[in-house]
Amino acid sequence: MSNTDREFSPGDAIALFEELLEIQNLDQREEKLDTIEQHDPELAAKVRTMIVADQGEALERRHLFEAADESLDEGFRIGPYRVVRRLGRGGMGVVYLAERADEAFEKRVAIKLVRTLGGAEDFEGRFALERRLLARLEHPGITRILDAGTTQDGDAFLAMEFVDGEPLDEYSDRHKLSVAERLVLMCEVCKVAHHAHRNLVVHRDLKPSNIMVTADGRTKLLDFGIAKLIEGGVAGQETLTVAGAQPFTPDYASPEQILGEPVSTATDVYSLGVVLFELLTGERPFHVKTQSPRDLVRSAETRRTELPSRRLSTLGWETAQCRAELRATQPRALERTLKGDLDRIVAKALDPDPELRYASMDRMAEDLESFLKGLPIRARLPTWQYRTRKFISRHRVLVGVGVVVSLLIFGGFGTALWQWQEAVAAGKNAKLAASRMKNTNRFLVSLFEAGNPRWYVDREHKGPDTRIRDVLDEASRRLDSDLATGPVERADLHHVLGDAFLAAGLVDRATSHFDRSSELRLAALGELHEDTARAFYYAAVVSPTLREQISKLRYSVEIEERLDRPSTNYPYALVDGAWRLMLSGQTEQAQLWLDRARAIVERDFPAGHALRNLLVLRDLEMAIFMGDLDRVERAMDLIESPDASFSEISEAQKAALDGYRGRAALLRGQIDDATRLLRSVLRRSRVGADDKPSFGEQLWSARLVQALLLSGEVEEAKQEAEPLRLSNFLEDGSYFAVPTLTALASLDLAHGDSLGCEDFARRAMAVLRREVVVPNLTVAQTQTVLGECLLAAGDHKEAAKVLTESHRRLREILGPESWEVRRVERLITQAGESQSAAP
Amino acid sequence: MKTNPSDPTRHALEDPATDEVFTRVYDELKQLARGYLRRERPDHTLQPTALVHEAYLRMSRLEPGRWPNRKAFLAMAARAMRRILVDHARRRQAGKRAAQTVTLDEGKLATSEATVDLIALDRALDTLSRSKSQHGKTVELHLFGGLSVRETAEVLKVTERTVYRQLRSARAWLQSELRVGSG
Repeated sequence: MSNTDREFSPGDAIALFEELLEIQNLDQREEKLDTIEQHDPELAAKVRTMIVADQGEALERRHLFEAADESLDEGFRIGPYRVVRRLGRGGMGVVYLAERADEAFEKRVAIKLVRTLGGAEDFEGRFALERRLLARLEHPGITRILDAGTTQDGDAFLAMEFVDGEPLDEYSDRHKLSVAERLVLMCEVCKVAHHAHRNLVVHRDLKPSNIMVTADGRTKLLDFGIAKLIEGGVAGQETLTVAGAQPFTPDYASPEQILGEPVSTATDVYSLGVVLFELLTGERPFHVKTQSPRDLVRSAETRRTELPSRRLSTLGWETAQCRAELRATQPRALERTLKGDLDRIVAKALDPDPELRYASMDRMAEDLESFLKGLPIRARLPTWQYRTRKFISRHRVLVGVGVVVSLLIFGGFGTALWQWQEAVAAGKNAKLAASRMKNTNRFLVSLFEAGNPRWYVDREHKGPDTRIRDVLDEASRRLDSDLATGPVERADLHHVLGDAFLAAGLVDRATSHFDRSSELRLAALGELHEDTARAFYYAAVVSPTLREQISKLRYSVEIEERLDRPSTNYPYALVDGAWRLMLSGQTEQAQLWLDRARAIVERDFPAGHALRNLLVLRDLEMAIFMGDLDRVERAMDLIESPDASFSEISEAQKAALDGYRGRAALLRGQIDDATRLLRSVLRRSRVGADDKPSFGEQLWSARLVQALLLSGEVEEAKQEAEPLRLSNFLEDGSYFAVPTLTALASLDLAHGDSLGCEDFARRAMAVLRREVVVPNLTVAQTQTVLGECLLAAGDHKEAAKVLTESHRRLREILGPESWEVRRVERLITQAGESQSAAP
Repeated sequence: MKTNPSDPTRHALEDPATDEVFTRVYDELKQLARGYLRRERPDHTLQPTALVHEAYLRMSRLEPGRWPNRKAFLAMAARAMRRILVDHARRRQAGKRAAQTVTLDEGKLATSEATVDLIALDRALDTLSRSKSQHGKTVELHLFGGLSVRETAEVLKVTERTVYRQLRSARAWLQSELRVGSG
């Protein structure tokens, strides 16, 4: 209301205001205002108000237009309903709280105005079927559609049960629900969703705001099936922005939804996976910041699975603390809870491939319940599977007869067999039961035929699964009698079985199959055949000792080199051979092979190919093994340079890079850096909650122990070394036991247990003597540890002898300036002194 | 729609043929705005800039050469936009009063937080325009018409700095009025 009995005009007030603004000094401004106040208090007051207003939020366009928008509220009629107030605005339109205008019922409803620009008749006619299905959907956990119709303006609307509650995420946080309590709610949600699915209705837009929790703690799902109704109407509209036209919420949408592919119950599984992820960590797994559809699509096409525990570990301390509090726990405990089975459940639900997700929501609920009860779950980590399958489809051309990446088989293969087994047991499929071996066979061969990617020596296998073993044993038994005719075919099947055993972690059984396969091939195909070369390659890779491996690889390489055209396996044989040659100290040969591989790779393989990456990494490894710091620098530069297309690098390799940096740091004597980097590697490569650490973990862990001991962190070293004592390499006595043995030796030394130390150190030396052809850095370093142990045990003479030798070697390899060399020199002096001091 | 004699619109534009022009502009914009006001775009509220430019495009395409230059059009469109919004608000308010019989329910009937009272704003803007007509115009062009500061400066033939200054003080004044007014 404008104040007409005011004596000053707006102009006056504004003029004064502008004048005051020119005055920078606030005191002076006040003075001026006080002066004005003397003879015109109202003007002064007005200007003061203006100044306050100026400091607050400015009047903006959006305020004006929002006001205009919002005035479609309160008291308006939508069909037979009257709007009470606006509840919110969703992706599909506005939702109002309303009640019947004729006050016929007490019921409160939520009304969604549906933008069917095609007109309301469209809506009525087109979706009769969907509406009928929805109307039949009756479940206490699902909000019903009560009414549908058109407004005076010709818009269509849906009236639904109004739920007085809170969205799931808010409810959980407000009540600080523990992980278990949240899971209980999720189970409920899954079961409700399953009910709808059984009745042929897919939600398509599941998210926390659509999952309400009422005051008495029950969950209720909103908007089931509505997305479909709306989608049809909005399709093909012009002026409305793209962002508004999607009937889903990008952060919760499955890749197939974003890409416009057919939607199914698996879509809902995905969305609930996102919700679960959020409930557990407080974060969303994927978030595309921009609104652009292109970025969304790209995200959908390239996304990989995120594990909740991993995401949690990337949060800052304060954030992690907050999140844990909201879940009534501490960050460490939360991470422990999430790691392992819960990770797997989420990962399975979030698998980019709909086929690999939970087949139905009740399966997901089952796994959640199993988890809560402490029982084993069904899901496996699908990430390996998925990645490998994708790899397969991308590299089909490249691979012919190949080896399957262990976890692929373990995941997919195992599951398939298990399902088959179940089906047989239940007698469900008579055909299956009758020709079960044929099917297994076909399956195995098809695996084989599909062509498979590399099997990296970095095998990270888990413990054997009994069922798989039984099935495979059976398959083995039958192989030589029932099936396959020609030796070549049999060779192939032996090979595939070998893979399967390998994947299941039954290495010795695998070896015999591979050996048999290579024998058969050699016999049937003769030497000059690429399949023979391949067979020996695979046989090599599973052989127990380095020497055997090297000899078989050599054979494979020789055959390849005599062929008219080497097979696609040739570069792999070279690279893997080079690595082993390096480990055994035959560095010149190793380098030769690497160079040969490089020539091939650069000629035949595109940038970004996994093999290229591998080569670069091997180069780096070589440099570290040889203690050649300059070369290490060069290799790291190559890796870090912007056009080193390391795009296909796996997670393990990424983590490994840090590990190599750590080792390089160790070489330079930068212990702190080394410790930090090695800790980082381990944080990222710990997979699952098994007792036995994986191969990669062991190697890094052993190095970390060494680094920790060097910096005096004995306690942490001890903790880190605990799982190493259970290492299966120790039982094998394989080459890869050496770092572990050395680490344990050093640890015992730190505790003053010289006997234990000596024992470990000597065992390490024994392995090395057996496996290494030319003494290398590893030998020298291990010798040093032995020397230290002897020194501590009081055997100074022997210590001096050993240390002198190791000193010589170290000096040769690392140069006189190296801190390791200096250290040994000090030790020698100690030994000498003690010697002369001894009686 | 005939403008009535005391309508400040009249003061703003000189050309006598303006009435008719204005009417057309008004109608066009209203049509466009209606779609937005009802359909409720999910991302943001309606964008007056886009609306006004779209209206201009449509009208000049329909009757090329007939229409006054762009700047004048923009001025008119801004005025029209203001009109449309305020009329809309008035209608709603009238509707509200009729429906007052709705039972208030447990005090949950929320008055939308921090909504600008458009009708009061409109009145205040009139008052301002009477005294500081250019300030009023600046506000109208920039806030209601969606013109950028530069475009506003061009239309009014002043410097951008002036526009900024005027906007600042006009806003302060309007906001202070609204505080008092809504009581």
